[in-house]
Amino acid sequence: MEIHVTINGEAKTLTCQPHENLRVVLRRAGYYSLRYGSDTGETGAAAILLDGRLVSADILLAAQADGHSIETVEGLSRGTQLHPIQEAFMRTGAIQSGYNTPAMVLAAKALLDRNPNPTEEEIRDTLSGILDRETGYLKPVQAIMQAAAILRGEEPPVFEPNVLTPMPLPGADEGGGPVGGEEEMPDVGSGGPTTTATRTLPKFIVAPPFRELRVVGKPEVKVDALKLVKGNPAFVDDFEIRGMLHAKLLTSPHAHARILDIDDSEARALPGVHAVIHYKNIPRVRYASGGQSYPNPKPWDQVSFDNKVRHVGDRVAAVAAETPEIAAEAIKRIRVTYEVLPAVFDENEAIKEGAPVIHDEPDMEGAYDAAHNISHRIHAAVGDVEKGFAEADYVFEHTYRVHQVQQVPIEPHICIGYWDADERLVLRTSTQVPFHVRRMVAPLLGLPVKRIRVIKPRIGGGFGAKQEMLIEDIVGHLVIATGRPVRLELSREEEFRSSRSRHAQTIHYKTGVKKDGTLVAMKMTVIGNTGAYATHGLTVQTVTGLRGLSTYNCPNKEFECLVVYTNRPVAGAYRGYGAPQAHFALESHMEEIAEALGMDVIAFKRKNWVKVGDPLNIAPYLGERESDTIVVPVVQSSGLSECVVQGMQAIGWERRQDPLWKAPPDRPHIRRGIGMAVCMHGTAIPGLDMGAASIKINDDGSFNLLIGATDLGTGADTVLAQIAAEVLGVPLEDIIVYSSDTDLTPFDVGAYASSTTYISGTAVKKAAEDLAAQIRERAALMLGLADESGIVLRDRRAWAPDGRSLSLAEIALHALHQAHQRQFMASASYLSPDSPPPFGAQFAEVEVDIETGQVTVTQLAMAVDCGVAINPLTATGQVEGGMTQALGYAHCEEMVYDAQGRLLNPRLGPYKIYRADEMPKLAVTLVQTLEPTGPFGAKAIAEIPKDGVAPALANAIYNATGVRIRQIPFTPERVWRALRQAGVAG
Amino acid sequence: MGVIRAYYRPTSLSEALQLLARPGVTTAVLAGGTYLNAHAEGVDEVVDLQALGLDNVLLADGYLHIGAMTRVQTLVELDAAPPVLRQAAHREGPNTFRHQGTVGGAIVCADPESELLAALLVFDTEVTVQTSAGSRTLTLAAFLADGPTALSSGILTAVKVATTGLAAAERVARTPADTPIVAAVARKTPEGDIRLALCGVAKTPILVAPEQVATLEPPGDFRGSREYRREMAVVLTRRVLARLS
Repeated sequence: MEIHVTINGEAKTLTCQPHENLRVVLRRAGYYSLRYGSDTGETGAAAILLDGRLVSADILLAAQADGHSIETVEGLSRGTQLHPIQEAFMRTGAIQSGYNTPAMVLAAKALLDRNPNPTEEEIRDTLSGILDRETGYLKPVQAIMQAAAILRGEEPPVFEPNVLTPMPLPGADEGGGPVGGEEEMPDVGSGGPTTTATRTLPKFIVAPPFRELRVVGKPEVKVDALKLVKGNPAFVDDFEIRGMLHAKLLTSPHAHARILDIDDSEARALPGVHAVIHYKNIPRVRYASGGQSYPNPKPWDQVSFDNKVRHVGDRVAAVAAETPEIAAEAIKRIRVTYEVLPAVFDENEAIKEGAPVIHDEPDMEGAYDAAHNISHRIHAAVGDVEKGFAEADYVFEHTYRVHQVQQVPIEPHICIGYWDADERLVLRTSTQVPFHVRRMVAPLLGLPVKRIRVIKPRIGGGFGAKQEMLIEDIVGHLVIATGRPVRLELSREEEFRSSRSRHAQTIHYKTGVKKDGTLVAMKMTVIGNTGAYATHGLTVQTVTGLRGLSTYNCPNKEFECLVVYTNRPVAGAYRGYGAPQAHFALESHMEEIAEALGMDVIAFKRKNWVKVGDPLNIAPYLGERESDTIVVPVVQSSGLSECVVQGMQAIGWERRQDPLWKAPPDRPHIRRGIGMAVCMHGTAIPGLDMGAASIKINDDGSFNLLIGATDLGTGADTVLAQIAAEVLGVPLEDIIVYSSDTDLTPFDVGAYASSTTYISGTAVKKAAEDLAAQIRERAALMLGLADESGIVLRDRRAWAPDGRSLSLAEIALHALHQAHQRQFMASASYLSPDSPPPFGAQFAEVEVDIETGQVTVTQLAMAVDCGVAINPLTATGQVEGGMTQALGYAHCEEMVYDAQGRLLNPRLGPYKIYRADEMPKLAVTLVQTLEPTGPFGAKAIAEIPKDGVAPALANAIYNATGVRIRQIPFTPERVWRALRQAGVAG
Repeated sequence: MGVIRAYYRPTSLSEALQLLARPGVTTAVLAGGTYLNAHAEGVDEVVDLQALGLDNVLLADGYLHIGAMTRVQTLVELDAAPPVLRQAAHREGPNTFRHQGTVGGAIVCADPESELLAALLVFDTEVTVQTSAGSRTLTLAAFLADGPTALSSGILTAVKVATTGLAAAERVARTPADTPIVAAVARKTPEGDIRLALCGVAKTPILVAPEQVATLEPPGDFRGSREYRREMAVVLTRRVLARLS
């Protein structure tokens, strides 16, 4: 059928099928700014304006739009002239991956067209239909406030990230400075309603600013912001190639079953079907899917298609067909004969004698004890905990439970594969680890690495779900089977069932302490639930141990852990990587101890937390690389004391003792509380994570920066370009970043383990410094100087000490065309022996309804020491977004199953992630320190915001009600039962 | 989706009813589409009501007369509607859903957690169903109790809602904007009668006598067990009633 519509002011006739939704039809017509987020409309990634109203095009039949007027973000800008809303989104740092930025821009337009002077509540309401997993909504709200003011012709509000000037390298204590002493707790204001205030500059300066920087440390607009705010085709699915087939998966309806037979004859007979692949026609090659360095940790417990399924959603077969509809029909026609087996879902049940054995295949390599579903046992110790317990005045033991959640990147996994003209396999894929994917997929496909090229375009979020070789092997097999280009995108439901998730764990702490609060022994015992396959099971649980036993000084520590198979969907990497689990248990446990000792909780923690110069004593035993010599890392920079002080100020800490505030007389069933958690993370995996960069000069003095690092929306490309620009003395716009492409860019392990700024950033800095030396040398030659010492690069010029200067363009033209011709270029790689910990303090304020158990989070405040923030806008954006994900983890997100292991809530809504119109107030402060090992003093920031919210909420609920809850998430019924059991509920 | 083979946009009610009455074709009425386009399986053909002019809103004799195709957002912004009703409409979904979804669609979907339906129930809402045999008017409570048979091959065309009296709402949910686990809406009519509606305790939102609340047997799910939902029904009922006194 045909529909007649007006799109961005132009009359158009579009052809569509009656069942097709408007997203599909508009994308086919070239409007790429509408993106897939789900089939049920909740993400809003496909939002458009229909007759000026914001609606979700994926739940609107194209036919319904017949006769109506449609606006997409493509119609907002005229040539290079952006709409003021678009400019505001760029300027305020409201764009991370940009996947749903066009939808947010349209939401803003729908509001501002009607209401030029909206309240913050109205702004949050207009964004309520667009789920964002990245920004925490704060910067988009700020962007709309700015745009509204500009459109009204007013001076726009300025939003400054709250950044404290870098602290110098510390002496004896951790850069204490004038504020932050032990006794001196500052006066603070009271917390208000959820309002987005204009950030003010810090009230004090800890130390004089260090050397003048021009690009680093500045809130530069992201280098990819323009294409993202315009909705340009930049993502995997925006790529078009002739003759492309559509793939679809058949996944298991059973949690545990043997496949006795597959009959694909009916599917193959369907016209338009080109291939059906499954265990009978795909070679059995063992692998582990976690995107990690060579050699991937064992066990290698997966094959592309097995004759056994181990969770609901496990792979059974895949189809490639001319259309998605034919592929879906073919899937229905595959006949699978299952022998259903008993299944086990709980990590504590799975290790019991007689539990169903999940990996009974004879060819599995490297599991610790497959007969008891144990993929790994991890043990590490320093000192002697038993001796420590004997010496202790008190010993405390508590058990905590953490659950399984999903990463929910709004862009699901998607890969398009095809043979290029040289008959090499090209995989354009939404991945955090293009180089690992190339190496890992090769043996599964029977192709040498040299015949595979992996391209990572823009990525719509990953959060660890894409630190995995998840679907690329299927696409590769189908390209090989058909000779045609093949596209496979997971649906939102598949993303929940068949992708990856965060490990559920049972965590037990036993801690010995002296009467004065000194820790003498800590033992942490963890049973981690890795689901059906191990992938990241070893390393995530190792990080749980490392993070659970590093924050506090203690001479005797022990970590004992089993990583356990169950018939649940697979756990893998998720931003934080074992640390959020550890922090929930550790920071709850420490508060319980302080409470029992009658000590002030912050005083107790401060007494024991690691300070500058302290050794991280268990770290050498919980690394990822066997090391011949044991080197105990030492903390070299920490702003933790200052972070705590800043956080206390931001949240209004003193109110937690005010009975009138805690139990407001006019609301008898409400109790209020404030809690905190200390956070400590790592920066990259020492001795293992390597990143590389290459850089070259162009005729006009601009530079191509080629990096293997994978910006998944975080701003990594921008931060790395800022580092290059700083070294080369040019503005950011002169650096053209390209990442990542295994044919063109140097190797990088990829975006994980909070490594990019630190590892890849140091590689960029080294490469840029090498190139700068080449430029200076040429400048000396051109200026007739004996040597290049004293020449500095600044403002796109090379300046001699005598005041003469040459433009970089003059130097480049000279080198490329005029004399002693050569291409100035440089490459460098970096691997760090160190993993300097960023520190943070997370605070939360809650209201607990003691009759219903409903917890309302009214405020989150976090102060983070990330070293020097290369870009304060992207850095604060990381914290705001990370805290918001962490809030979901602590409060409302959970993967829930029925007795057969079927996920009950594989849909957004039932799986609840926070919306713009229900967010608590967010406050972020960056407490900068100078990390001596980092580029320009930087440490990591990406993951630490995931660590503290759950324990801070637990502690706030305790402060409010006196009831300790040792299991997340804090959903109403769980809290109600705990309150009732404690006799608190009304 | 993927199964709809034909789309119709009739311009008269009789044409629409004829399309729905055809034997052998599974034909669904398409209102806004927020539910049907996301979840419907097994629908062969759809009849879109957008060209029937069913989106008028009129206040007469203290009653709102709302066309079934009126968008939920229109109700949110309707000054003549009681604040509790507007607030409940606002909670029917996020911005995008409210701008696409319709009042009639919300009623026919009969989501057990719809606070809008609970609010409509306490405001003595009546619905008009048009069939080829003529039109009939019944209470919303009766319509919901009848389930899918209430419509048969008819079309819900109009909704009549009282606007008088004093109303209040209470809810418990995982987060402030989440669908409620249990919600209670109550209204005291000008005559002093109490209407109480609950959602999250039965297959659809229901009107219930306050003294019956403690005897409810709600269906449990992962967000709230039977026991919890019944307990919350009691707590929230007590709270809404207290706010009316």
